[in-house]
Formats: sequence, C-alpha cells, structure tokens
Amino acid sequence: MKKINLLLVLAFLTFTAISCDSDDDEDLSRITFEGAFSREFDVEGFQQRATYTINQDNISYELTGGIGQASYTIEKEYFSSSENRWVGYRESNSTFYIVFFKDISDSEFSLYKKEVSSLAEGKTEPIPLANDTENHGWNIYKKDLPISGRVSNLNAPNDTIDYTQNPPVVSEVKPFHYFSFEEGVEVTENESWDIAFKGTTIITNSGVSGSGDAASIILNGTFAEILEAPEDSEFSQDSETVLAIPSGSGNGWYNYNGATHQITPIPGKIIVVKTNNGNYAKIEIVSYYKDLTTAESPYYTFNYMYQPNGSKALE
Amino acid sequence: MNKKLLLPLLNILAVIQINAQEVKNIDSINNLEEVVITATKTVRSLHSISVPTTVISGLDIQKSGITDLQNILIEVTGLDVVNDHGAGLQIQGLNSDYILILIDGEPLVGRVSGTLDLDRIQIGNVEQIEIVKGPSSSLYGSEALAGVVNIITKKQKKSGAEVFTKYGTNNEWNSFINGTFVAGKFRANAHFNHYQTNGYDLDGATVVNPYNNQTYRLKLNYAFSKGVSLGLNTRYFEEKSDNNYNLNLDSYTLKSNISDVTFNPKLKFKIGNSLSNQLKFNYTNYKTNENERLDATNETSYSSFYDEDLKQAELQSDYRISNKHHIVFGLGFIDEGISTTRLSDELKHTANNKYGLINYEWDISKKANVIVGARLDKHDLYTVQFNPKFSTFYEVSSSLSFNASIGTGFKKPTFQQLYLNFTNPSVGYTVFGTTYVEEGMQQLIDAGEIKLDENTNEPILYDDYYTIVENNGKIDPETSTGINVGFKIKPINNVSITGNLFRNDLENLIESSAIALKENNSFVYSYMNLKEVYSQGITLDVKYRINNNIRLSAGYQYLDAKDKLIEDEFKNGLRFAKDENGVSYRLKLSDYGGLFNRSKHSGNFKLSVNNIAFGIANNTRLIYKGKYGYADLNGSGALDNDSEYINGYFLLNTNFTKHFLDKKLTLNAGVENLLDETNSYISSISGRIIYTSINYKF
Repeated sequence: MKKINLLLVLAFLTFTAISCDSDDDEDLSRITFEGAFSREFDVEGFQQRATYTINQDNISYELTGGIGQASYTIEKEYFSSSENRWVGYRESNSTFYIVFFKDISDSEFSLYKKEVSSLAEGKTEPIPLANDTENHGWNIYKKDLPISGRVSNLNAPNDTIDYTQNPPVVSEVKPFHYFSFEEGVEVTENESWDIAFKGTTIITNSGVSGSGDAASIILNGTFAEILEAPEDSEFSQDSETVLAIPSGSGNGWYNYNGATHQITPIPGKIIVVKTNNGNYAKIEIVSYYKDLTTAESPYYTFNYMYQPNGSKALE
Repeated sequence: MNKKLLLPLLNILAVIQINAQEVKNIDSINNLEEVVITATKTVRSLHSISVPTTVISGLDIQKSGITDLQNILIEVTGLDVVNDHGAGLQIQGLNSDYILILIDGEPLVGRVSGTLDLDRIQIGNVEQIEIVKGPSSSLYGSEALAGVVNIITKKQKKSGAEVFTKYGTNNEWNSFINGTFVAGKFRANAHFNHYQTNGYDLDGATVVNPYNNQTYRLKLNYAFSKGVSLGLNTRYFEEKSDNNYNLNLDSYTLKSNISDVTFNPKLKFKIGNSLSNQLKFNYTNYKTNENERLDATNETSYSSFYDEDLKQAELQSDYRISNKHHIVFGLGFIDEGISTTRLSDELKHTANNKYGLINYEWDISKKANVIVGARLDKHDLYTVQFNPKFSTFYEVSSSLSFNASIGTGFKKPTFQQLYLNFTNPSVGYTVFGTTYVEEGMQQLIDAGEIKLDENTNEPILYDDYYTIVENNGKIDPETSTGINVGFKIKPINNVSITGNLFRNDLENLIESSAIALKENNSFVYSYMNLKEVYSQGITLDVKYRINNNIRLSAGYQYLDAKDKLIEDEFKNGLRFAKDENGVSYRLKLSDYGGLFNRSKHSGNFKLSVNNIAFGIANNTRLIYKGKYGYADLNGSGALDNDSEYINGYFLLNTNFTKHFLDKKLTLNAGVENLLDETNSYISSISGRIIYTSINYKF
C-alpha cells in the first residue's frame, strides 16, 4: 500500500513539474495583438489617417490623407512583452525604429515611435513618460474592425424567358444589379463593383463577367465560424464554363424545389469575395424573396462583413 | 414517452394487478386454433410460428365496423399508413415500397412512386388478414423486405348469400353482395362490392375528390377427387374520379380511371399421402388513365396512362416427410411488363424473372421448431439474388415462449429507374433511367446541351456517369437484413404479453444522382445505389381477457428509423440549417430526428364487450400516433427542427353491434374518429364519421 502511495506522489510531482515546465515556455518575443490599428487626425485642416498593421515579423505603417502620404514596413529585430518594447529595422532608409506600446486591449493601444541609431540603443532607451511630446508623443490607435452590414430586398429580376418554345427563348434581357462592398450599396456597372445579381445568378467582377479583378469562393460553414478569408489561390474568377459562384440548383448558393418552385439558400454556404479593390468580404444569402416571405422574387436579402484594411481577418 | 399514452397503459397494468387474483381459470385459447399460411407458404398454427405474425380475423373486422383495409391495418400495433401517392402501409418503419400485398397469396401490382394504395382493396367477405413482419424474400422474392400482408378471402363451404350495406358521413356508401353455390364437387362464389364517397374538405380545401369503385370477384373450384382440384380466382377492380379545378382563370376537368384485374387458375394434386402439389398461374394487370380537358372547348389539354402487368407461373410442392420434417419446393417464372407515357408512349418494357425456393420446417418437438428457407431469383435486368432466412421457436413452458428469426430481403429496381427519359420543360433538368444513360447522354452531347470543359472542349461528365456506364446501366436491387427476436409470456391464464425486438438494415437504396451539367446549368440525373437506412424498435402487446364478456388489449411500438449517411453527417458536423433569420447554423447529432413520417411512439388501446345490454356488443379502439416529421423547412435536407413535426394525435373509434334472427341479421352503428381530429397536413383523416350498416345472411 505504501508503495502505491509513494508512486502516486511521484506521479503527481512529475505531473506538476511538467506543467510548470510548459508555463516557462511562454515566448516573450511573441506579439499578442495583431491586426491593423489606425488613428485619424487633422493637419492644418486636412484629414490624415495613420495605420499600423502589426504582424509577428514586421510592422507596416501607412499614412494617407490630405498633406502627407507614406507607406513602409519595418522588420522586427526585437520584442519584449514584459516592457512592450518593439525594435525593428527599415531597410529602405537603413534606420532602426523603436516602438513602445501601452494600454493594450483587443480594440486599441497607445503607441510611441522613435528613430534610434542601433539595436542596442533600441533595447536600452528608457520608456517615454506619458506627457512626453517629442516624436508626436503617445497616441491612441484603434483597431480597424470589419464593417458588418445587411442588404434587404435587392431586386434583381431575371431575363424574361418564353418557356412555351423548345428550347426556351429569352424574350427580354434584364440588367444585372451591381454591388460594392466598399460602398455598401448598389452601384452602377461603371463603378468599382464586386458582385452582381440577376435572377438566381451571381457574377463576380472578373473574367467573362467584368473588367475587374474580384474573385469569389463558396465555403462550407457558418457566417460566424468563418473568421478568415482563404488563400488567394483558392478563389476563382468567372469563366466561360463556370462562374466563381456556380449557378444552378444545388451547384452554388441555392436549391430549387421542383414541387413548390421555391428557391432556398443552401444552409452552410458562405460566399467569400476578394473585392475589386483587393479587400475581403464574406456574405450569406438570407432570402431570395421580398421581406423574407415566399411570395415575390427575386429580392435578395443578405448579411455581409467587409474588411476594409486588406487583411484576411473577417471577425 | 408521451404522458397521454402512458396513462392508459398504466391503467391496464393496474387493472391487471387488481383482477389477477379474482379471475378464474378460463381457457384463453379459442375453440378453433388460429392458423396462418403467409409465414411458410403452408398452413401452420399461429401458436408455434417463429416470425412476428399478426392475424386479424374476419370476426374482428366485423366487430370493428370498419370496411376499408387502411383503417383496419392502422389499428395493428407497429403498423402505420402514410399518405404519399395513395395510402401506403408502413411496417417496422419501412415504407410501402418494401411491403408486398397479396390477395389470396397473389401479389398486387401497380405502385405509384412506390406506394401501393390500400384504398384499392375492399375487405368485405374476408376470412382473415395475415401480417408477417420482417423480410420474407426467401419465400416471396422482391419487395418482401419489411413485411407481407396477405388478405385471405372466405372459403364458403355451403350454398348461401350475404348482403351488406353501410352508409356514413361524406355520403359514403359501401355495399356488397356475395353468393355461394356448392353442389357436390363444385363450388362457386361471386362477390360484388360498390364503394362511393363525396370526398371531403380540410380547412376549406378539397383533399379528397368524389370517387367510386367497384370490385368484382369470382371464385370457382372443382374437386375431381380427394387429392385433385382445379380452382380459378378472378378479380376486377375499377375506380373513377372526376376533379374540377381552375388554372389561370380557365376551368378544367380531370377524369381519372384505375382498373385492376387478376386471373388466377390453380391446379392442386396430391401424389401419395405426403406430396401435395399446386401448379398455379397468375395474371394481373393494373391500368390508370388520366385525361384533362379544358371546359370551355372540351379539348384534351393533358393525358397520361400507365399499364403494368405481371404473369407468373409457379409450381409448389409440399413434401411431408414425417410429422417432424416438412419441405416446400417452389419453382417459378415471372414475366412483367410496363408501358406508360412517362417512360415512352409506344414502347413496352418487359423483364423476366426465374426463381426457385426451398423451405424446410423441422418440428423438433411440439415445443420447438426450426425453419430454414432460401430463394434464388434470376432476373434478366439485375444480378442474381439469393435470400436465405432462418427462424426458430422454443416454448420454455406453457407460459413462456421465445422466437427469433434472421433473413434477407430485396427490392428490384423499378422500370422508371431503368428506363426513364424525362426532361422537365420549365426547369430544364433531365432524368435518365440507368439503361438509357449512355444513349441519352450521347444525344444531349450531340445536341450541344452539355457543358464543355473550357480547356479540352470535352463534355463535363461526373464520376457517377462513368460508374453507370461501366456497369452497362445495371443497378443492384435494394437489399436488407432483418432480425426479429420475440417472446410471449402468460403471467396468468387470461393475460398474454407478446414482445418483439426488431432491427432492419437496408443497403443499396436507389437515389437519383447528378451525372452531368447542362448548358442551362441544370443537371442530368440518373439512379445509383446510394442510400443506407436502418430501422429498429420494439413492439409490445398486452391482451387481457377479463371474462367471457370483456376483453382488453393494449399495444405499443417504439421506433427509431434513420438514414445512416445523414446520421454520419450530423455526427461529423457536416450538416447545416437556416434559423428563422436565414442565418446558417451547424447541426449536432442530437438534432437528427430520423426519417420523415415515422412516429417514435405509437400505440393502441382496445376494449371489446360482448354484451353491454340487450345483447348489444361494443368494440372501442383508441389509436395513438406520436409526433412525426413531415417536411424539411430549414434547408437541412433532414428532420431536425421542432417546426418540422406534426403533433401526435389520438383516433377514437367505436362500434355497436347487435345480431337478430339467430345471427342472420346484423346491425352496426358507430363513430370513427369520435374526437374529430383533423389536420390539414393529414389528408387521410376526414374528421368524425358517423355510420350505420346492415348485414343479412341468407
């Protein structure tokens, strides 16, 4: 009996030791806050926007707006999560940068950036005080959250088709209805549209359908589960034989019921779009009928999320 | 379990407890021992039967006041009727497609989408209805997967006549006249039945149109000697209905006719004392005609027909080696044919089927028997089918017995699955029967209707197309394995409890599958062996004879029937549904409710009193059908949401009988669906029906 007790104690100690060991593994150089964070400010009456996109290996900076524009990437050399001190090197002007963070949360942080002459200096430079106004001082940057939206009753009638003839003949061609995620509303064919609707067909501004460079893919999952756009290589563009969002019952986004003649969106089909301006969006078709009834069609209602900052994050 | 059901069940149990001590030792077995023929193709006592078998006697039918097969079967524990292209029987959770219906041992043909409409069969002058659950393909071949129902008409031994007429709500008339002539070795029986109804509405919509039908039956028999007789059974059934409706402001009349004819001569001859033979021939033909006319011009706007026949010759020899050993051999040939507008107007499709069967009954003792049988079907359209069955019965004591059986079953592909060539004019999809796939696809490719690959310029054909073509258009029959294990306990002399556990595994079920994409973005479909389904459950029946005057019984079935592949998808989180806001969510295994149209819980409670007062007998039955799924409403393609169920309901039927003039005259009056249960989704239940009937025997 004693032996068993001893074994149990030993086993427990070993377990505890292993557990502690794994705690020690935490990587201090790992950044826990990723994504694009930006700040808007006025310079002599002009609106400016500064964006820091934080990645594990680098930080890219972008300044847009009225007076000054800039865009560059700083490669990471050092990071300490205990001090939230980040040091990197920008090759194009052979300069070291030190970036301090504080008050970090999921949606924002405070940032202080300064040029230094070497990595060593970057590691030792003291943390600036809160009231330090040098180098533009401490500023709050907020995370670029994707835009969630819903489009209701987008009316996109199909061509008029004469079924009394065999094969059926199109007697009146109707226009497509174009949609831009950036604008969040219907746009014209001449604007930067992403997808367009006519009857049950959804085209993507690409290939045979348009002059743009948009692309689409249908993923299996729920709208809430799909948090990231897939690799660019997985997207397709509209071709002669197949659309990026395939048409036909059971092929793409909808099922047709021969008995009730109803068009129903297939559950678990989420369309992810690489937009014409290179951003990503996901959409779920909610209904093909006016006011979510089953009477008048085609009236598209869909939920979407548009990530304006170019990242694949869709959450 | 539903509390409403539990209550009556508990009540009976309580009654049994209270009365158990008081009841005297009354012989619970009827004077005449019940025999069945369907389970073995030979006459066998129901007592020692080793497969789950239910017998409804002609007397029970008369006492119930019911005159249609559908309503009599729905009162049997574990049986259900589902309305889908007609009233289709369901046994052990399996559809009408998998149930063989026989009249005097001969199969009926003419299924609409798999359903054999029970309303085609009138049950006046029926000796008994035998229901054998579980696969019986070892005796009956195709379609005997879930069970066999055999309607056995009366075999009159004396000259006489009988008239019957019944009138009830919805202007429903059901009448028959029956006459028997017996002279020495010759026996003739003629039967004529007429049925008509005005139909009925539910929620303001007509669900059953007026229709009427007639059944004519003639049975002749001549006994040349004690061992040799020649018999002839013929039956003719016709049904007519008119239906008026408006379409795009025009009014139309649709006339539908159904006819069904059977011609069945039979020669019986004995060789010696131990070898009885019967050589029989069966011709049966089922026809429907539909003709739609535009009322304004009286021009035909649509017409269709369906014509199916079956010719079967069979030699069956029963060799009784001794009291303990009994062998049945059978050899047969079936020729079946079909022509219908849906396949091709002029062409008649035919197929041949040769078969041989053997069934060996070994009565080890009075208390134990073993039955082994098998049948081989060689059909010119699909692979050879071998279906064995093994069953055994063992009586531990006079109050406890067990039975068990295992067998396989099959259902041949339908002519539609083999020969269809159909293109939907408005939506544009195409369906080919498997034998037509290669030729039909070539025509579509030549006509440029199939999408071409951008790079190769070759038509895009799916894997399933190549699979079908590689098999030369043959598909396998649907197959099943069924296991039944049952017991019968008599805790006291006048109480019996029978139970049966069952499990059926169906494979190779035929489903449509896309084989190519058309230029119009619709698919071309054909048929493949794709689906797998199981059904399992338990059936319990308690019968309690309080005294010679009062009998009680209660039945219950628990059923679990699921599509295996769908169940796997639920388990692996691969199925989605839409919520009320149109947002998708992932389904869990616990969401899956199984196959549609199956109640998890069903039951019945029956009370029969021979004499309430003044010699009036009463027979009252309460039928419970638990909630069941009826349609997918959230796009998941399966049953998984509360809104997709129809609530459970009770049907209460009661009938009063009184005999006059030494039982020559019988009057019945009663109410079906006393609780007036209706639901616009259940077209087969019309609401309360009050009826009265009179029967006179000359």
